[in-house]
Amino acid sequence: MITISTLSYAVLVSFIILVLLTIWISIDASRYQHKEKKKERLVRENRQRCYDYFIEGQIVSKHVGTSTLERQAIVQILESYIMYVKDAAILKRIYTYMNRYYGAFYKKMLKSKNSVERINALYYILDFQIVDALPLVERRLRKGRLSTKERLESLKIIAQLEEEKIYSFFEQYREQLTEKECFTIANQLEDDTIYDIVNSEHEDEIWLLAALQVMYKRQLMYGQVAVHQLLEHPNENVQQAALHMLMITGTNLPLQQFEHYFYAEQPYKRYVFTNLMTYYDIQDTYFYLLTLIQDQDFIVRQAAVQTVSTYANSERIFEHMLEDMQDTYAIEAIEAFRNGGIIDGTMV
Amino acid sequence: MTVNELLHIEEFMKIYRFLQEQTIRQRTKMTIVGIRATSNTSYAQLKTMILQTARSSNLYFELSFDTIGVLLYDSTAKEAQYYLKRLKEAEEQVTWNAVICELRQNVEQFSVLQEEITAQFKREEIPFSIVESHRFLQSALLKQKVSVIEANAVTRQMLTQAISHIDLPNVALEVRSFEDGELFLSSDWYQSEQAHIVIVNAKLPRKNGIQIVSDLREMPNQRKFKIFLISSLPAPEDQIAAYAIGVDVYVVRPFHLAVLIAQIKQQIMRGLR
Repeated sequence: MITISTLSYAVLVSFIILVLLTIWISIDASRYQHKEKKKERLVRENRQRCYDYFIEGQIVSKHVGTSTLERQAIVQILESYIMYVKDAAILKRIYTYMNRYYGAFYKKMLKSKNSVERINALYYILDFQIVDALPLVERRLRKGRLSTKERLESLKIIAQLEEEKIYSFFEQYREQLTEKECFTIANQLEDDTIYDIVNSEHEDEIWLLAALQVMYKRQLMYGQVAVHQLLEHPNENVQQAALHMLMITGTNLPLQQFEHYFYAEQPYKRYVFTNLMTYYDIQDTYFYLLTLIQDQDFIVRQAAVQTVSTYANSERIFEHMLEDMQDTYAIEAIEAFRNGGIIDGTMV
Repeated sequence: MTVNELLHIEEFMKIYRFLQEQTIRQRTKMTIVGIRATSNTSYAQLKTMILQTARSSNLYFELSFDTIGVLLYDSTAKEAQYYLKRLKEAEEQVTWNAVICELRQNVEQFSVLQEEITAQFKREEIPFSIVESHRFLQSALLKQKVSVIEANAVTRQMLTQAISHIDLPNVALEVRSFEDGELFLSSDWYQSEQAHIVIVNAKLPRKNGIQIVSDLREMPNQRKFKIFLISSLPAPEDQIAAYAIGVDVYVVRPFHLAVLIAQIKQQIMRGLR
């Protein structure tokens, strides 16, 4: 049975623990702040030297940090550089420096038992292109047993630094990767590799789809022939991605070949069809656009207004359309667009 | 509009002073041509021919008792050469000599200019000979302000330093950096008349890049600003929106630092022309 004195004793102990915990937290916080301030000072002190060496390319002022904190400060400076600058000469200096002086450190970090450290090591290996760490990254991928995050970062590293090997690793893990992860990995590849995957109509549909999505994101224009062929692909997702690509590359096929999209139930197909109209003359597209501008889906309506606006004589086309229809929403959308305003809540 | 008579020097001086001010303020240039008849042509013949071929965009005046002056506004010596070529082709029996004087700086005393033109006329008379004076070609020093508004201290220092290293003849760069938009707009640094290049990150604490661009474009003398917006968003719609609010150059990061510096140089050079 718990007596009052036992209870007070427990409260007292809890109180003491709480006080100690508070003291420990505040000491730890102040230690952290002190460390951050020191690092900030080191960043300030090293900024000029780093600028001279990495940005200006002055060999005389190359500098390797003497303490862990100073090395962290230098890394922080270099992270800022690679976030903003992509001059080949500057990047080469940064990557060479990081490989030479930090490669061993990140390899050691990647072997750590602490998962946060391992993830951070992978981030640095990718950002600073630490080629020396590649064999270790590959070994870990082959062994498996990686967390989702580690797996993704490792695959990104291979895609970035060893393109020719990426597909074999991708194959190993493809079942465990989400569509977004596949895209992220493919997004590390060079433009030429993306073209190769699309032009060869890669047999792996997931890989092909990821490449098409990257192509769309980067607005790569020279894949028109392959993209047209992919419109007939048995995989619906690949077809859809190819169709999206056509909005960028344009098409020289007769409009009638795409007419089934105009009648499609799915709004995205009508949306793509609306965007494709920009590649045809208004004489051929007027009646399609007149219908699409009154579509039940506002995204399609908005796209139709935008498409009309791309024609040189858009004002006259709008006038004509206003005479030919009664749909209040469509009339409002056109008027809003002509006043430089808003269509269905979206800024024009 | 036809030109019937030459302006008297007193009348011309009033307009000249006004145009001089404009030349300095707008950093433009003007050229004055002195034309003198050779011995087989009379002053009256020359005057008639010049007035007959006159254009309303130029000013025709009595430079001295025997010399007719033509002021070509916003024109260089090269354009004056073309003008004289047309003049020669108009009537080849009327012969003359000419002196071209391009002005890129403030010549307050018109008499200095008169003396320079008179001194440049050659003693021996070769019909249609043209001499160019380079005495007033040197432009006034261009004071160019550059502001870097960037929250990341490392990037701020990198940009500031790289821009400070721009070395252009006849340009005095004044570069300052700010941590955020609020600091920039609360300073009086941006309020002067001087040409001003603003390099601003779209993402900033307190007041973001887009807000700064809007605020600057609402100023009455907003034309002096050339605004570079640094953004991580490459999508065409983001760029179009930025240009719509008045951005001059949209820079997607990561960018080529060397290219950015070349673009800034080009903006400064435009101010020099």
